[in-house]
This record gives sequence, structure tokens and C-alpha cells, in this order.
Amino acid sequence: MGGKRHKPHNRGSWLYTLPYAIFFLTFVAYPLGFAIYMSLHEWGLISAERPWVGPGNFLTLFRDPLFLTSLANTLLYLAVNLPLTLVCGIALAVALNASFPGRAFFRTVYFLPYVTSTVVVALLWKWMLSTDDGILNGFLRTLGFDGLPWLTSTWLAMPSIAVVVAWKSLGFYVLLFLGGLQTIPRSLEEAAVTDGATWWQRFLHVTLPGLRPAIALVIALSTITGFQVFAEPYLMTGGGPLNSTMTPVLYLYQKGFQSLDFGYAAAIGIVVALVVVAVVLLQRRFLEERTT
Amino acid sequence: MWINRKSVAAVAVAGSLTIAGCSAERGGAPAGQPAGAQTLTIWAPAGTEGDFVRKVVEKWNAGHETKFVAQDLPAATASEDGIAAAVAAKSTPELFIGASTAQSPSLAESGGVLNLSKEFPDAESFVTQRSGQAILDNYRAADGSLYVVPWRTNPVMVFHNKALLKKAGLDAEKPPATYSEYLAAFKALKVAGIAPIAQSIDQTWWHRNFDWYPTYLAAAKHGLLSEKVDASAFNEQAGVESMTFWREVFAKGYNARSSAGLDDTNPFNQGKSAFYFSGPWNIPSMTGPVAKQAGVGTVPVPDAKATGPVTTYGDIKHVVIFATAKNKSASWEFVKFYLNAENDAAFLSEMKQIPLRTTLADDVGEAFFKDNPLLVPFVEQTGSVLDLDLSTKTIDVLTTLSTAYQSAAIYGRQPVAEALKQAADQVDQLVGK
Repeated sequence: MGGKRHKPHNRGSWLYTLPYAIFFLTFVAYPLGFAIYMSLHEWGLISAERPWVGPGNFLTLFRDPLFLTSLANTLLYLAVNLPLTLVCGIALAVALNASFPGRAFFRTVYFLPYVTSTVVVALLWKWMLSTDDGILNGFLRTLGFDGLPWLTSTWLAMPSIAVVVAWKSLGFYVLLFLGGLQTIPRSLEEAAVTDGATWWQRFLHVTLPGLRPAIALVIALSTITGFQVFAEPYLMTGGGPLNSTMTPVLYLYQKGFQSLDFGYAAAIGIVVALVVVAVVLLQRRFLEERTT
Repeated sequence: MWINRKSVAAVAVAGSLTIAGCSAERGGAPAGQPAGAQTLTIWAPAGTEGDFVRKVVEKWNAGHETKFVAQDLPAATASEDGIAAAVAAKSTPELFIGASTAQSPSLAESGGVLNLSKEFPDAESFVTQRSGQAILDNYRAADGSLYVVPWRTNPVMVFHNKALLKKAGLDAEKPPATYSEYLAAFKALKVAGIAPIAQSIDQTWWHRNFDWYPTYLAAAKHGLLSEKVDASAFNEQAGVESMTFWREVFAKGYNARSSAGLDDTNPFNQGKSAFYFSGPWNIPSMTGPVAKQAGVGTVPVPDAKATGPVTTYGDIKHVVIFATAKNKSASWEFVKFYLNAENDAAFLSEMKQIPLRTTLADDVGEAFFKDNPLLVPFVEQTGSVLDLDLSTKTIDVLTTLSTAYQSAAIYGRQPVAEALKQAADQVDQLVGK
């Protein structure tokens, strides 16, 4: 009487979770815990002593102009990459959702860059965007324009990288949007047609609202990717010119593997992870408010 | 800390050469190896240098029970990055051919490479016999031990395209030497519609080793850091003058603000630009009409006065044995084999890079240099080269200076003196005790 009723407990059920638990503890929890531990120490690769510095690395980081530059660069990257990803992703998804001959071929074509090696993509675009002998400037010159310093100008290099990353990942986001389009009830579209809505009105008032969950997901994933951009600036610009394409992860890499200061690099990693969580939570809250 | 204030020894000229070349396969277990026998791994630079290592490995494997296999260094934009990552992960193999001076102090202090003086009784005598006492002393660590085997040097000089110089009305047989002469030549070339020079503007630290740093060494005759490598030494007249020269080069549009390639894609090697700062490794890249029809000459890097021998950057690389080596003695025996007189001569002949061997000239013979006249100035230049400072912070120092160079010289965002002062403050903080 009055006692709690427990559901029958399957004592062996924990066994089923064991493989993932082992995976999680080994590849997520332990490295994360170790990174936090390292960030609280002066952890140089070459030093025998690794003294405790508490929040020292974090305090230095918040005053480090290059780290702050890397965060500002990421905001510029996102300002170009996010709208481009959303507009092109939705446009392509809507186009590929319609039935037309060769649809499967085009779906495959747009997905190809996503499954191509990032290194290959970065090197190919580096060549295409070369100021002197790049194919893009060659095309501009045939039209009578001057070539642009796509990767050698401090104001154009980061937007160029943002476009390259958007191009590479577009196929994946198109898939997400295509999935979102499948969830929009056909009856809504038919009702709008019956009411005499134009294609644009149907897109604005039926398709776009129906895609909101997919849009929220794409924004979150693109933002996370944006804060993790590494290979493209590493291979295409080395973080230059004048640190204009320095990203937090590239800076982390430089601190870790060039300066051999693993403690500081770990602190960068943790701060970047926290910034990503905060930004994504803010975005989610904003998008939920807009939805309700 | 290490010391590094001396120029490396000169490499004399003379002798005859036999190249024992044979085909090699990339990677994989050596052929004819008995089951269960030990295979030891060597990391080598990718490309033709790696192919050369594989040839030597094949020769070694034919006559020794312990087999080696040469693999390309894990890919990274700088070999130092790949090595640092491997040392951190303790996934290094037996040895690495091509360790940079910039990284060698870190490798020694981290315990990532073997103390050769301690491990092998003949290590120091081997280096002295091959390269001379000055080289041995130059690369001793603070503890007095040797952790690297100095391998080869590639002095940075200035190639020039004689046909393009003549086209611009310049005396191709009397190329420029001082800053003002270089700038006047660049101006004449630009007026004639010829691209004067095409150096890379890339931000990555090691690019500065092939543009500003050699001119700095020519002017300063000492490294970027103080004798005890605990303070900056570049914020002086030599630093300002040499960087101002490059600022002029970019401000007047003599060098485009674009990332020129370093190999056969460089405009110089394609006959499109007149000058190119590079080392002897560039000679094989000049396979087209540039070398044959236009005629190529090589002169020292610019200097304010250009009186006496002009100092330049030696780009010296080393062989190291990692602490993870499974068979230390076999690794050391292989190092000695790789660096024997025959292989050194073959390396010079095939790679056009200069092994640090005092008898090299005699070994390859006078006829070799008659057939390879472009190599002669580089070999002569080896008597006046300096290396990087032997500090664990050298890469950070060069990274700082690369940003200063971009800011002051390439993009003209701030005065040279201000950029160097700023860089000096950062470097002092970095290396200060």
C-alpha cells in the first residue's frame, strides 16, 4: 500500500548497452576528460614537467588576439556559408523533388562532392581559385574582367573558403531538405492549388514552413561544421593572408603540432566546443520561438 | 639550448662518380625476405627524394639480413607537423631522412629521437669524418650530445633568366647584386613587360626561408635570435633594410601578390619571370626551354653592399633515429650506409642537392661539375651559409615573422620598423627565460 511500483527489471539489459558504453567511454568520455585535464596543465610535448596551471590557459586564451581573430573569421565564414547553404540547398532540393527525366543522375551528381576527399576538393579549388592561372580568373579575363585575388586578399579569402565548404557539403544538406519535403502532407499543397495560390505563394506558405525542422537541423549542422573548419584553410591558405582565414581549429592545430603546446591547444578545443554548444542552443531557441 | 652561430663547412670540388642505380618499388615488404625476419621502416620525403631513398634501401636489403622499407612521410603541409603528430602519438618508425633544423631541438628535448653520442660510440667520429668538426660542433645540443646526423645543404641563391634580362636591356652576364641594383633591374623588366620575380606569398612559416630570411642573413650575418637563443636579434638595421627591400618589391608590383608555385609550376621555371630565389633542388625543375635556350645563371641573394662573400640560408636537413626504433644498431648501420661516399655522390648527381661531405668534390670529380655547371655556384656558396637558430621555438619565431612580413612587406599594412618591433616583442616573450 502506497509503495512504489517498479516495472519488471531485466537485469541482463545492461549487457545490450555495453558495446556502445565501451565505445562512448573509450572514444568520447576518456578523450574529453583527458583534454580537460590537459587544459589545466602546462602540457608541452617536449617538457618533462607538466605543472598544474588551473584556469591559466583559458585566461591567456581570452586575451589572445589571434584566437579572437579566429572566432571573428568564423563569424564571417558563417555569414557567407549559412545563407548560401540554405538558399542553394532548398532550391536544389525543390528542383530535385520534382519529377523529370534524369532525376536520379542529378541527385547523384550533387552528392558527389560530399563523398569526395576534402583534401582533393581543397587542392582542386586552390588551383581553380589561383589568382594568376586559376580557371575562374581565366574565365573572368575572357569576359574582359580583371581576375580577383580569391585566396590572396584579406577580405576575399575567407568568403572563398566558405563557398568551397558550402559546395562540398551541399549534397548532404540537399538530402536533408529532400527528406523534409517528403514529410509535407500532399493535401496541403493540393488545397493551396485549389485556392488558386501561385507557385511562389505555395513555396512561401506551404513548402518553407514545412521545411522548418530541416532548416533548423541544417543551420545547426552548418554552424557546428563552421566552427570545425580546418582542412580547407590548412591546405588552401595556411590561415593567411594575414591570418584572415585562421580558424579556431587551425589555430588549435598550430598550437598543438607546431608550438607543441598541448595544454593550450586543449583549452582552445574546450572553449570552441562550449561556443558551439552555446551558439546552437541560441539558434534552436530562436528558431523555436519563430515556429511557435 | 643549442648554439648555432657558425657557418657550415665548405664543400670542395673534384673526383669521379659512379651511380649504382637500380629500380625500386614503393612500400611493401622487401623481396626475398625470410619469413619472420625483421622489417624496419624509414620515413622519407615524398617524390623523387623518396625514390632515391628506396633505391638505397634496395641496395642495403640485397646485402643485409635486416631489411628496411622506405615509406613516404605522412602527408602534411610541413613535414614538421607530421613528425610532431607522430612523436606525440609514439607512432614513429625507425628513422627519418629529412628532419629540419627548425624541429631538431624539439625532437631532441622531447626524447623523440635517440641521443646518438650516447647510443653509438662512433657517431661523433662518423660525423666529423664525413662533414668536419665545425658541423659536429654546430649541431651539438646544450648537453653536448649529438641527436641528428647533418645530411645535406641547399643554399638559397637567385636564379636569373638571361634571355629575359637581355630582352629588358640588362647585362645578363653582370646581374644585380645590391638592393638598389636588383630594384633597378626589376623596374627595367617591368617596363619591358616582363614579370621580374614570382616568390610565394603564402603565410606558412617555412616560405620565409626562401625569400626574406636569406636576405636577412646576408645583411645580418647572424640568426634571428641572440647567441643564447633567449631574445630576438632581428629588430636591427639588417632586419629593417632587408624587409624594406621586399616591401619595395611588392609595393612597386615587381612580385605579384599571388601564391606562386615552388616547383615546375613557378613562373620562372616556365620562362615567364626573370628571377627566382631558390636552391639547387630547383635545377631539375628547369627542364624546358628556360634552361636550354634562355640560359640560366645563379647569383648570391641581394645584400645592401654586396662586398665579400654573401651569406645565405643553407636549408640544412638531417637524419634522425627515433626513440621508438626497434633495432637501434641496424638503424645506425643503415644511416652510415645511406651516408657513405657512393650514396652521397649519387644523391648530388640525381637530386642536385649537396650532401655535407668534405670530400664530395673529389668523389664526383671535375668532369661532373663541367656537365653540371649550374651546381657550381651552389657548391661554392656552401662556404657562406647559416642555418636556422637551434631553439625549440624556431617554428613559432618564423610564424611570427611571417605575419610581420606579410603585414609590412607584402600588403604594406604597417611600416617595416613597426612590424619588426611588434614581432620582436612577441618573440622576446616566446623565447625569454
